[in-house]
Amino acid sequence: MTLGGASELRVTSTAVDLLAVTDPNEIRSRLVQLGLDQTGADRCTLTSIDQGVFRVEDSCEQGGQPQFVGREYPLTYAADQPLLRQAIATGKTVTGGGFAEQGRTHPELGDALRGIKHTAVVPLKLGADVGALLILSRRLDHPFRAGDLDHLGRIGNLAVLALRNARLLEGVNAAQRRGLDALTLISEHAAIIDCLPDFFGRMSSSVAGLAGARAAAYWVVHGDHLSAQPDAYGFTPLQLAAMSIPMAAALRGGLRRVLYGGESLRYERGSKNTDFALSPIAADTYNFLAVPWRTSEGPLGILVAYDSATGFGEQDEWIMRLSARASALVWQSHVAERRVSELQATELERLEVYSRRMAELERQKSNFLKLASHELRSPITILRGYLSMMTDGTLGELKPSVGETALRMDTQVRRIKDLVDQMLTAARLEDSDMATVTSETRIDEVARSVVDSMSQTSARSQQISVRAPRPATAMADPRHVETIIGNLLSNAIKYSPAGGKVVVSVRAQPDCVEVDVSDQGIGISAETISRLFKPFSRGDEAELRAIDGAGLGLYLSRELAREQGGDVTVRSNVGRGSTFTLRLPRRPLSDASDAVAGLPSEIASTVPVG
Amino acid sequence: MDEQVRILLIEDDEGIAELYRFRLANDGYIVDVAGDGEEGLVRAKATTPDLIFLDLRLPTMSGLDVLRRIRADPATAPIPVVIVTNFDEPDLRSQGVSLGALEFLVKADTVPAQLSASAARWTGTHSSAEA
Repeated sequence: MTLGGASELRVTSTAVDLLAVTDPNEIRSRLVQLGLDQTGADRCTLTSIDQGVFRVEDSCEQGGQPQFVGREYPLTYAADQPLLRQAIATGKTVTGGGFAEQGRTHPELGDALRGIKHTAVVPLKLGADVGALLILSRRLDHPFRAGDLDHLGRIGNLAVLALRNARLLEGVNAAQRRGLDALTLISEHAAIIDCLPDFFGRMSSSVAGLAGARAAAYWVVHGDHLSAQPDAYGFTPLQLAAMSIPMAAALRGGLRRVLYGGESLRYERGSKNTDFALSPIAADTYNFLAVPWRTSEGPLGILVAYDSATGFGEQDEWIMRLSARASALVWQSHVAERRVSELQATELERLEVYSRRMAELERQKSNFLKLASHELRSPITILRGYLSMMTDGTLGELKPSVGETALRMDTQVRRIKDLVDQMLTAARLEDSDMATVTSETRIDEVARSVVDSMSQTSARSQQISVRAPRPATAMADPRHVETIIGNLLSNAIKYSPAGGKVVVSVRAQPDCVEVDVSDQGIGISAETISRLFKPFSRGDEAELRAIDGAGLGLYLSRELAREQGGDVTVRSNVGRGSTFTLRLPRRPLSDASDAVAGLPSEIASTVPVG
Repeated sequence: MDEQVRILLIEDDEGIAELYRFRLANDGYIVDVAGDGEEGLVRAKATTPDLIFLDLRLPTMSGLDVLRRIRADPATAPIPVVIVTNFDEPDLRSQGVSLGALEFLVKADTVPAQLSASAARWTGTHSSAEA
């Protein structure tokens, strides 16, 4: 009997359909169904042969549904059956009569095999070996056709291949799932682990779970020993205390290749190849799998999973390596983080020491300035005292030239006194006990009292007047305001010609109080204005330049004003005079400072007088 | 001056003591000078001056302590005291005033004529400087 083209086509298309199936159960069901359809057998059974086990997978009866059997027999059962034995041995299809007549049958199968007239066994190959058998039986006395069996064999071979692919795919999928699980678990740890002891405890417990092991430990190179971390999962403290070996001993065995060669290592208790040096690593366990634990910077140690009931397989190794990589990454980032924070702490400490030293130096400097200026005041007092008595006649009649000289000397002694006073104020400015204390202060009253006292003591002939038509209250420190207005006024007097007018005007603006001190002096050039408020810093050759009369006064005034949230600014016309403006906030520093500091002097001075 | 007015100068700086002594003596006062607080207290009790010019920075005992002891002793308590110092710290000024100092003079700002004027003011005399 020959098969037509249509039949060939049907076989091929069936095979193609079968190969598209990825579910192993589906493949097996289809294959036994196909066996019935292809040969007209009463029953078709699929068995597999794997590592000494003869396994009945699926079976289907004519007119019925394929059923999964899943029963396993020792391979000796197949060996007892001549047909089976022959098919397995030759890899070729074998036919014969009733099963029962061929040899001993398994007691369980007795009934099912009774009455069978024809049997065919089609071996299905996986590579060179027979991996499965299709067993066909028929009760009618009508032999199987060789062509049908041949077609069935070809499709069956493909089906076995499809089965293997499906199984592999399943394995890959499972591996992917496990890998993903491992990465997920470890990355979750990364988010919550913030100290290292916790790290090894959590990680080893996760690794044990992922590798299907009872226990797991990180062994870390520490000094000249390789030791299990004390919180390894699945060990008692007593066991852990003993889990340490000298590096020299560890490196004599296969561990060298794990630590430095990146290899993995499996251990089975009692196996012949057991490396003697490994027994400390093995602890009291019966098997383990060790993989390298290393960062990009080098080896840290090894990661070991212990006691897998099924033995550690390829996939377990893969999972372990993945876990080791991921946990090393987490560990590395923690170490880096700790290094950074240690560095920050060190840096912070250095800054604190430095700032304490600076504060101490600052305090010493300010103390020295205070002491020096107090000490200088005594000789100044004495010089002024005698000079004053020379000029006021107490010491008797003087020759006119001596009298004039005494007056000049007196002027110079006053200059020294002013400088010393400014030094003292500068020193006090940096004193914490002279900190600015602001309160609601009547600026107009302070201005009046300063002008009054200056008018009395001024030996010059300038006309000093105050324009303060209305009360003007600012948040300020009255002592500072007095000092500032005093400084500005004394400058104005100094630079005014004899008989010139000096005007102090006080205005209340919406946000601030302004005090103008205007003179009709020589004015100040733009170039000079730029360095007017700087203490002594006038470039590299500061010492070589003449200190003009303003000295520290303007610097101090501005510093004091800013301490109170205000400022001192200046406008000047060369040859016509200058106006220094003190601005002080009307509200407390916190909410008014921006407004005042940010207000350009031009705008401020064009605001109508309040 | 009918009856000579006696002034005690408690001042450790010899240059300043001599300057003030010269001026006050020149204006007709009898001037005693004490170089420290202890000596000042002894002199004050012994001579009961009409006025004390008291320096604040003194060896062994501060001027404020001297002032407290003057006030604590009934024999010296009524004597008017004027502080004359180069330490013009605001809190010292207020402490001095609260201890009953009549005036707080800053040496560097006070020429001898002004010191003499102060003496005249508090002893009720008319010194030559004011005349």
